[in-house]
Amino acid sequence: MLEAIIFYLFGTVLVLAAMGVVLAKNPVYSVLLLIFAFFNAAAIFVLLKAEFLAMVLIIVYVGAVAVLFLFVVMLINLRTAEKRKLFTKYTIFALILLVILGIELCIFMFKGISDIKPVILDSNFAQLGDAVSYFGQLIFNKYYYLFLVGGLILTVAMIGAVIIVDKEETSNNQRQDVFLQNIRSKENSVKAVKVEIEKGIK
Amino acid sequence: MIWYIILLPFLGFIAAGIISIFNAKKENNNSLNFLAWLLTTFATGLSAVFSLWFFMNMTKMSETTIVYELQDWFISGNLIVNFAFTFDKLVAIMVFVVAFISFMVHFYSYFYISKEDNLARFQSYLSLFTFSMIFLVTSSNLIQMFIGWELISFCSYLLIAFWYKEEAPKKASAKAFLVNRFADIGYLLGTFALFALIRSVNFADIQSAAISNVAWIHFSIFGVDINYIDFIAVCFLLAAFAKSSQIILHIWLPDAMEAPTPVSALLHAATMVTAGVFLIIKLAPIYEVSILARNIILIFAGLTALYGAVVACMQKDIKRIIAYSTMSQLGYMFLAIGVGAFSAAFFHLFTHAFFKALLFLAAGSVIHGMSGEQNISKMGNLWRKMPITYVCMIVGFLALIGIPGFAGFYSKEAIINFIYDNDVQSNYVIFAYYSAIIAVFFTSFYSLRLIINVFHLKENYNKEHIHVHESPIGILFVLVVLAILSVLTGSFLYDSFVGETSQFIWSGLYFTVKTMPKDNLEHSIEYLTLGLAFVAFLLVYVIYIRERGLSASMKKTFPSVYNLVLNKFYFDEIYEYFIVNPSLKLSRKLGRFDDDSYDKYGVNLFASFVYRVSRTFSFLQTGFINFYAVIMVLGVFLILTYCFFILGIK
Amino acid sequence: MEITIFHYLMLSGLVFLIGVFGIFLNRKSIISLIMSVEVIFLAININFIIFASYWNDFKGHVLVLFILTVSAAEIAIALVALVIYFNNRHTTIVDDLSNLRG
Repeated sequence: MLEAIIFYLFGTVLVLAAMGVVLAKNPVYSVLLLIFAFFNAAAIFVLLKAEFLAMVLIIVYVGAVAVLFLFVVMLINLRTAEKRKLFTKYTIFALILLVILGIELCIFMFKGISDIKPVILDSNFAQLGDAVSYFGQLIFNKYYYLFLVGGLILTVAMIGAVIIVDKEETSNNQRQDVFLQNIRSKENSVKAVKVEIEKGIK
Repeated sequence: MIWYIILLPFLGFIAAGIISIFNAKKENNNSLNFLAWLLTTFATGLSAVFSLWFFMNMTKMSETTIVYELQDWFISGNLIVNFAFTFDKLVAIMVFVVAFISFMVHFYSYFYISKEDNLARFQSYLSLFTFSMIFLVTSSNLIQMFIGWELISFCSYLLIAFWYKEEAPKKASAKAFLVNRFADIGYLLGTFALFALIRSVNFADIQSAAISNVAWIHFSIFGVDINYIDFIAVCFLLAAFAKSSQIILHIWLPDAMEAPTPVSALLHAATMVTAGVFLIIKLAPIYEVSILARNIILIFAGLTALYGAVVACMQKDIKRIIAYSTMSQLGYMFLAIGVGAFSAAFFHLFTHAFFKALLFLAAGSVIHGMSGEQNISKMGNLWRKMPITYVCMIVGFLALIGIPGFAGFYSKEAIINFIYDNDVQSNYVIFAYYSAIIAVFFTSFYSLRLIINVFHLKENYNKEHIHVHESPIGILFVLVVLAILSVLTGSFLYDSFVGETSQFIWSGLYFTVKTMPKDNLEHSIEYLTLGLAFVAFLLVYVIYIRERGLSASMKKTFPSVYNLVLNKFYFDEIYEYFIVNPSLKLSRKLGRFDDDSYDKYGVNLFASFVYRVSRTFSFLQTGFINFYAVIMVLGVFLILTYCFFILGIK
Repeated sequence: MEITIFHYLMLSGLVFLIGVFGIFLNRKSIISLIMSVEVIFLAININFIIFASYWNDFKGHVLVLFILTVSAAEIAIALVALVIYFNNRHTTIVDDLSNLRG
C-alpha cells in the first residue's frame, strides 16, 4: 500500500515535471523542472531497490550535469531568443504519431512479458543485504572493463571540451566579412600567369 | 668480361642518373657534372677496351659463337625465350664500334654541352643509349632484341628532347618516337610470323634452320597467297627502314637534328640508325632467300641514297646536311644488302661509323666556335681560325665521298662493285647501280659546298658578336683520333671484312658471304666515281666561287626543281596533309562521337539520373538538427511498426 | 492495489513519449532539444532498472551507470559546442542552424 502511494505520488509528479521540461517557455524553468524530474526518478529508483543509482542520479547528475545546464542557460542568456509558439502545425502530426507509438510500445511490452507480477525482488536478492557492496563487486570485478571504458569516455569528453574551447580562444576564427567580399575586384584577386618550365609560380 | 662490356654503360647510366637528380636540385653543380662525366666516360671507355680485348680473345678461340645464358625469361608452349647474350665476331666488332664511338661522344660532351645544362642527365642518357644498343646487338633472340630496339627509340626520344624547354626539340622527339613506334608493328609481325614458321625466335635457329627449306611455304589471307619468308622479310624491312631512316620513313631523321650535336653523332654513327642495318644482317638467311624483299630494298635504298644526297645539296643547316648524308650512306648499306653483299654492308657501317662521327663532331666544333650558329651561309673563312677542325672535317668528307686511301672509298667501292658484279642483272639491280653512282656525284657536291661555305667564302657573320675560336683541346683530341681512324679503317681492314680473309669474321654465320678481293675491284668504276666527284667539285667551284650569279639564274630557270629539292620533296607536307591532318580530324570526330553517343547516353545519363534523384531527395537534408532528431524518432517508429506487423501476424 | 511491472512500464513509457514529443515540438532552441533527449535518457534508465529488479539481475544497474556516464560526456560536449556556436552567431535558434542543408 505504501509502495502504491509512493509510486503514484512520485510517478505523477515525474510525468508532470517531464511535461514541464518539454513545454516550458523559459529554458531556465525547463532546466529546473528537469532537476525536479530527476529527483522524482530517483525516488522511483529507490522504490525499485536501486538506492545506489538513485544517489548517483541525484549527486552526479543533478549536482553536476543539470547544474552545468543551468550555468550554460544562464551564461548565454536565452530569454530574448525564446518566443516560441507552443502548438504549431506539426503538433497534431506529432501527437498522432506519439499515440501510435505509445500503443505499439504497450503492445510490445505485454507481448514480451509473460506474466504481470509485482516487481518485488525475490528473497535471494534481498538476502544479499548490502546491495551497494554487491553492485560494487560487480562493477569492479566482473564488469571492470565497462567501468574503465566509462572513465575513458569521460576523459575523452573532458579533453575534447577543453580543446574546443581552447581553440576558440586562441585561433583566428574565420568569419565571413561581406563587405570585404564585396569590395574585392577581379583585377586584385585573379591573375593570369604564364608558367615557366622548371620555375613554377612564386 | 662480357658482363663488364654490357653492364658498365648501364652502371654509368645509374650513377649519372642519381647524380643528375642531385644536380637538378643544386642548380647544376659543376663538380657534380664533372663527376658524372668522368664516371660515364670511364665506364664506356672501359667497355670499349674490354670489347676490343674480347674480340682479340675471340680471334684466338676455336668456336665461332659464344653464348652466355643468363636464364630463361619465359616459356609458353613452344615459345622459349631466354635471356642470353650471343657473341660472334660480327657482334664483337659491332659492340666495339658502339662502345668506342660512344666513348668518344661521352668524352666530347663535356666540352660541348654548356655549363647551364644538366650535363649529368645528358651523360646518363648517353650511357643508357649505349647500353641499350649493346644490349640489342648482343641479344640472342628477337624478343630480347626488341627490348633493346625499344630502348634505343626511347633513349633517342629523351636525347632529342634534351633541350626540352624549347618547342622544336619536343616535337622532333615525339616525331622520332612515333615513326619508330609505327615501324615496330613490322618488327612484331615479323617476329610472330617467324615463330609461326620455324617455331623459334632465336637467332641461332634462324641462322641454322635451313630457311631455304621452308621458303616454299605459303599462307593465304583474304584469298591472297603470300610466301611466309617474303612476308617476314618485308615486315622486318618496315622496322629496319624506320630505324635506319630509309625513304618514306626517314622523316624523323632530319628533325632529330634538334638534339645536341654529340647526340647526333652517336645516333648517326653507332647506335640508332645502324640498328636497322644490323637487324637485317642478323636476319641475313631470310634475305638471302627472299628475292621480293631484296628487290624492295634495292628500290628504296637506291631512292634513299639519291634522295639524301640531292636534298643535302640544298640544305643550309650544317647538321641537316650531314644528316641527309647519313641517309644517303644508309641507302648504300641497304643497297649492299639488296644484292646480298652483307659483308660490304657491314663494312660500310663500320667505316661510316667513324667518319660520320667525325663529321658530326667536327660540325659540333664549328657550331661551338660559332657560338651556336648552324646556318652554313652565315659562316665563312673559318679555316684560318679553326685549322684542326678544318683538316678533320676535310678528312671526314674525303672519306664520305670515297677518295682513294680514305675509309669510305673501300667500303663504297666494294658496294658498287658488288652491285656491278651481281649474278642477276635485273632492272632493280641496274637502277641500284645507277643510283649508287649518281649519288656519289651529289655526295661530292654537297661535301664541297659545305666545306667551301663554312671554311672558305667571305665571312658572313657579325664579327663583333661572334668571336670565332678553335675548340678546346678535348674536342680536338676526339676529332684527331676519329680522323686517323677514318683514314686507317678502310685500307687496313678491307681484307678482313670483304677481302680474302673475310671468312675469318664471317665464319659461323649461316649464309653465303660474298667476298671481293681487293684486286678484283673494277678500276673503271673507281675512275667513274672519281670523275663524277671531280665534276661535282668543278661545279661547286663554278657556282660558289667563279660565277656567283649562276646559282641565282638556275633558281630562276628551274624554279620547280629548286623548290622541290629545297623543301625536301615536300615529304613533311605530304605527311602533314595525308596522314597527320586526317588522323587528327578522325580523332576529333571520334572524340566527338564518343561525347555524343557513349558519354551522352551512357555515362552522363546515369550521372544526371543520380544527380536528379539526389536533388529530389536533398530536401530531406534541411540542415535543422531537430529535424534530424525527428527523423531518427520516425525511424524508430517505423522499425517498431514493421516489427509490430511481423509479430502481429504471428 | 498492487504495483506491478505494468505500472512501472507505463510510467517509463510515458516519460519516453513525453521526451519524444519534446523533440517534435521543439523547433527553436537547441538547448531544449538536449533537455528532451535527457528526458528520454531518464525513461530508458528507469526501464533498465525496472527489468533489473524484475529479473533479479544487477547487470541492468551496471548498464544504467554506463548510460549515465556516456550521456554526461555527451552533454558536456554538446554544451561546449553550444557555447561556441553562441559566441559565433549570438543565437541558439535552431532555425538558423541550417548550414548542413543539402
